[in-house]
Amino acid sequence: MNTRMANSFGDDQALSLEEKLERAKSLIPASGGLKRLLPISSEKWAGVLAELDEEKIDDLLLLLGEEAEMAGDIEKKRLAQHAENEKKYTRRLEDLQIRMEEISNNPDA
Amino acid sequence: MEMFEEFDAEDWKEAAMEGLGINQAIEDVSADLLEKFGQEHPETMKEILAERFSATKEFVSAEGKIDYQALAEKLSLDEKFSLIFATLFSDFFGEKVMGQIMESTDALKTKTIPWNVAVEQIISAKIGGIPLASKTNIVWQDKGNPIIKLKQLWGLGKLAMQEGEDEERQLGVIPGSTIVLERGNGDSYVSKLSQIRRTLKVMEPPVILKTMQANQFFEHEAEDPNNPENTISKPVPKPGSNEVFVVFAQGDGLPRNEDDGLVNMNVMQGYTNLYEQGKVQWFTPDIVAGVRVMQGATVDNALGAVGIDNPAPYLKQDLKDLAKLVKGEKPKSEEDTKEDDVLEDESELSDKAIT
Repeated sequence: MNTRMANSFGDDQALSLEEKLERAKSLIPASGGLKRLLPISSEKWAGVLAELDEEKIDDLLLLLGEEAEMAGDIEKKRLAQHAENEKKYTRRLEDLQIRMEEISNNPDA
Repeated sequence: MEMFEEFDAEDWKEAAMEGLGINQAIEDVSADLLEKFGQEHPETMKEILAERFSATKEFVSAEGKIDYQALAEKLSLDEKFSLIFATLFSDFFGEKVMGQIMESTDALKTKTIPWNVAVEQIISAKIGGIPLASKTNIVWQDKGNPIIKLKQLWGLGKLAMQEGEDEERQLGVIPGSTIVLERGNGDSYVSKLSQIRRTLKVMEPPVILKTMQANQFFEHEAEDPNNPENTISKPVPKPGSNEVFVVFAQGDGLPRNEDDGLVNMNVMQGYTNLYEQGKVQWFTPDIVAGVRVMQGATVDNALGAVGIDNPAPYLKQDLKDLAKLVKGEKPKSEEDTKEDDVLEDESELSDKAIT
């Protein structure tokens, strides 16, 4: 099982109902899945949350947490790939620069 | 390159200043160097500029691909989670409303995956050196959370084992296969699976999900119509090509009889028949270890075969008791456990190749 997921779920379960609701409210605006499913305002979602039982809130928190984590992984991967691409490009430019410097310094070589 | 043939010194400088890339320090140095170099070594300069041009082109192209890929992954994630949330909220908003919402999304066009394709993709995947799949069965080594199982059933995520630190495994819905799940948390879990069933019906092609308890699934003994005093074995039900069976299994350890407390051989025989029939995803490694014992493996080999390194004491006891039943012996009491260990070590039973 995904250990990180299990831990975060465990942390959420330790919260009081009020804290769980607050956590859900903070996560909902960033949820692409919820936006796609039902594009309603955060205030309306708060109204929905107030009607849910605690078990459903737990499930929702688990999913929201996981979705946020997976979205974060995508962004982290994107940034890492950009950094790697820039590094590769910089290295190629540096190699060309060194080549030019060598030719300039040793034109007969 | 031809495009540089007509360049004069000013053009070289301009070319050097344009598209020099992202590193300001390099740009500052290179601009002067390029200008000077272009005047002193025009032929080599053409090569250098061509290489710079190529490097810049590849860089820009790769940047776009990275962003595109990330966007596609994010959209796919949104789509999949919208389905999961739809299940979560279906009873709250009501089936009709959710049905309208879901029909308006493209998410239900999720393709289902043929068994042979699924197995081919994960056949080589190993976890802790244990093959994940055989040609006939896939044994998932974690039991996991029911909600995560729902995702797996819905086809969320990747078919093959996800690379990375978590080794999270997710599998799509495979028509014509059976899934053995631990029973989970009672009615709530059954209710969620019912919601999935409704949704699977509108997938393309529609998939019918049938859920049942193991006892019901393995009613494999029936009266012989020709001789009512005899019982005959009923074949294990096979799902059709447009069906997925979900069998709810014992949560932890092996099933035991309520009356005498012995391991339930009838149900274990059912699981064994199911295993040998194949096309099964097992989310119950305990049960598969029991199946291996039913097939003649030692307890340790059975546990090793499903990747259980540190079995719970109850599971080890269940398997030892089962091994004795398989040999036609009556399991001993707990006090004799130590003696059982010695006997187990001396056992000449071999671990049959099952896959």
